[in-house]
Amino acid sequence: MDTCIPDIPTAAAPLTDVALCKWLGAAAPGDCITYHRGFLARDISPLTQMLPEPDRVALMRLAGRAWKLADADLAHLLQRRHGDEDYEYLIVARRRPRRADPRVLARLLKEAA
Amino acid sequence: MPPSLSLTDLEPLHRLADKHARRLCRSLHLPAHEAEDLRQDLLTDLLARLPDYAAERGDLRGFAATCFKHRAARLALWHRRERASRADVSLDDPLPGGEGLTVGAALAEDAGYGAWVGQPTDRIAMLERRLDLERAGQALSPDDMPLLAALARGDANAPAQAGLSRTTAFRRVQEARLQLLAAGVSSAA
Repeated sequence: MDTCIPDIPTAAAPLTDVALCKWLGAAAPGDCITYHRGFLARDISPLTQMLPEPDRVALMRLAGRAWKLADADLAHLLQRRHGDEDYEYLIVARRRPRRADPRVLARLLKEAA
Repeated sequence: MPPSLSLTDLEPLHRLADKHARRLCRSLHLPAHEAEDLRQDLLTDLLARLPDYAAERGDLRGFAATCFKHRAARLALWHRRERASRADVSLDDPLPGGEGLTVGAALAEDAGYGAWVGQPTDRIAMLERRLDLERAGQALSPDDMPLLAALARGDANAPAQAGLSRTTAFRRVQEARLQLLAAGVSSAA
């Protein structure tokens, strides 16, 4: 079931890449949201012209961002099949590392000093 | 303003302004260095009024003395009002009936001077923010560090400092912003 976070109104459709990141930043492990419904590979293809160009570009960014988040081990990507070329694309928040490495921030602050 | 007025004519007025400024300083119990500012204020006021000076009605010195007197009275009134609007209390003053408590000890952190000048006042929130940033810092790419450090320093030409074009720098900042958002730093929005 999708998780709505009342404080993040931008997590409602149409979802953008920024809203997706914002949602994930506030999400608890296991929280889930649908970021697209349809057939993603077809919808983002410039050849099929399934969506107007601005919407297609926005969807491509969103899908690319979801992939990067999964690649960074912050989320899982899932699909739920509803019918022929009708899929629900889900992103599920993963557990974050408990211990932070403070060296990164220290290095950034040191460089900025 | 009389067309014949020269710097030599104005010289005695400087001394007169000095005298009025020092007197005003004494009467308001201001530090001596404030006299210079007051003198400037008196002279500026006089310059604004000089076009109304009519030589047939009196000499310039008398005109200037009247201007200085009126301006000094207004300045004194303004200073007294300023002082009246401030509480003449030290943070180290004991609170009446406070059993050793001082005024400073009774002030909440979010009502103090730090809050007034825009400093964060909630130490727990500051600590949580630091922990969030430390965790979110791991999400940033090490390649972006020089650029982000230059931006944090407030360098006007941060992309050049980091050896990047403006377009690349903008793209990387956008990427870092999204990474921070995904790591839970909502202020990056």
